[in-house]
Amino acid sequence: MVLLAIKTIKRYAKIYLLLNKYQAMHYFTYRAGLYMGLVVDFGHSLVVIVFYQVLYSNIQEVAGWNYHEMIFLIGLNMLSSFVVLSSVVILNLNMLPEQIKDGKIDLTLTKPLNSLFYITLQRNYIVGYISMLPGFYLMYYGFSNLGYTLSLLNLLSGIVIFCSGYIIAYSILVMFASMSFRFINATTLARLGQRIILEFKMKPHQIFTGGLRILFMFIFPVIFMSSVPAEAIMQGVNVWYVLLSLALAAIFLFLTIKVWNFMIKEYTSAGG
Amino acid sequence: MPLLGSLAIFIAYAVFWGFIFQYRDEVKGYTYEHMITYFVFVKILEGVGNSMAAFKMSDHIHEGMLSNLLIKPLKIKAWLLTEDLGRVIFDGMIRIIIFLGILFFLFGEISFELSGVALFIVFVVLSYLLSFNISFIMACFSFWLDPSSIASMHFALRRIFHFLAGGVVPIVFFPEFSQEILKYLPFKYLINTPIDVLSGRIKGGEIGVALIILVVWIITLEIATHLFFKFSYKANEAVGI
Repeated sequence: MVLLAIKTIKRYAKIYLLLNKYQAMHYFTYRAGLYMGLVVDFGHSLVVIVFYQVLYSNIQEVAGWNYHEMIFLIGLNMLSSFVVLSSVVILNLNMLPEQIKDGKIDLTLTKPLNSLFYITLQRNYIVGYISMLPGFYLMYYGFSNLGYTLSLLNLLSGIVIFCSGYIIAYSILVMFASMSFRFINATTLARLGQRIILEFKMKPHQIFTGGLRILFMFIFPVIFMSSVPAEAIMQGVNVWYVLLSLALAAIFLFLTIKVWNFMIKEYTSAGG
Repeated sequence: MPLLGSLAIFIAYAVFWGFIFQYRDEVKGYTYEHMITYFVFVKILEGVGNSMAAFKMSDHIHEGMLSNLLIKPLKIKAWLLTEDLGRVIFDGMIRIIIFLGILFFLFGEISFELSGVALFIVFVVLSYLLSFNISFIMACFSFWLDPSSIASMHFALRRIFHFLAGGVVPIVFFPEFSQEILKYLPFKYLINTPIDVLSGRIKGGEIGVALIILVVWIITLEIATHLFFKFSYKANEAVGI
């Protein structure tokens, strides 16, 4: 059983690397698209950075986060946004409604591969991985001006929460996008989940109180993508958050697989 | 669906600013109620400021429809304007119903001066013309760029223009020197100025100056789009059937 699982993982890893090797070759062959993509991503990131610059020129702190802590959060947020958008959203989930409408998905579903893997992860938006590099600099800049000491335990806990947050975001995005199998030509359905995640995850999690805290901690747990790991890295481990993020990642991934398989069964092709 | 996305963004802003105003009564002359009202009208005006002329032109060129339009007895720009206007009016009406409904639900009453409303409508019409012209200039790049590049350029520039228009935070929050620069650029007249006119933050002579700057920009961009289209069109190649 364990050997079979390892063999399956190795097979899918090999397929994943091969698919993305061809994707990278395509991008570096047609470089105009690469440069345009960088311009778009730069525009997005610039607006966020300038917004917080403008905000902090008027107030001293937001939810207990000072300017440099916010810069660190912005950097980590850039990382998490671009990782999710590049690996799952831009060339995979965003294309799904159109592929279903055109019938191209039928060919994909007949392949001897897990459909969830192939449809959601087959292509990477290479540009996004380049665009996220300034995020590392922002994290370095913010952290170096804070006077905190970076401990290995804090860093590891932050990485664990970040990875759990990625799985949660992947799950939410896939569940939204999978509704395209039921609601044909709802091209913006896939983007609705994206909007919710991107808008709410970049905010410090302390601003969500009462019902909103329950919503963004348990129902749309987007706080585990940026705000909570940023806090863990800067200020120390909260074991409760680490365990909760792992549990939620497992639950959401399980639900996603169930929802996806259900939606695939609901799908009726036009034939031809 | 795009409205649901707009709604999600609005809720995110409302929660964020709600938290900020928990610890202070006002920031730069804005109270919590003022800020929420501001963002309600930002969401309403987003429909107006979001001209799709660039996408339409790109589609027409790459699908070969442009040649078909050229033989018709109407100008391309007028065609795109009427196509876009229908969408904007419909989108605007739905946004007004939804977002004013939210405002009424939150604060119980909506009251503006009649003169402010009248001037707001004038500014909205003019800001749409401004937005359309900006989009048309981007549309002319379709003669050189493929649809995905046009989409990339449109999204990147739209995001920056939206920020400079006061779509993310009111212009009064910006540093003084940048406020002075933005006064003479067209962007703030897309969102921030119409809302300031409606809420009475700018009155009398300031409205006159804003109108003049806005009209000058519209005329400038009209001339620029005319010249740029003539220049760009020379790059057009159509395949006969």
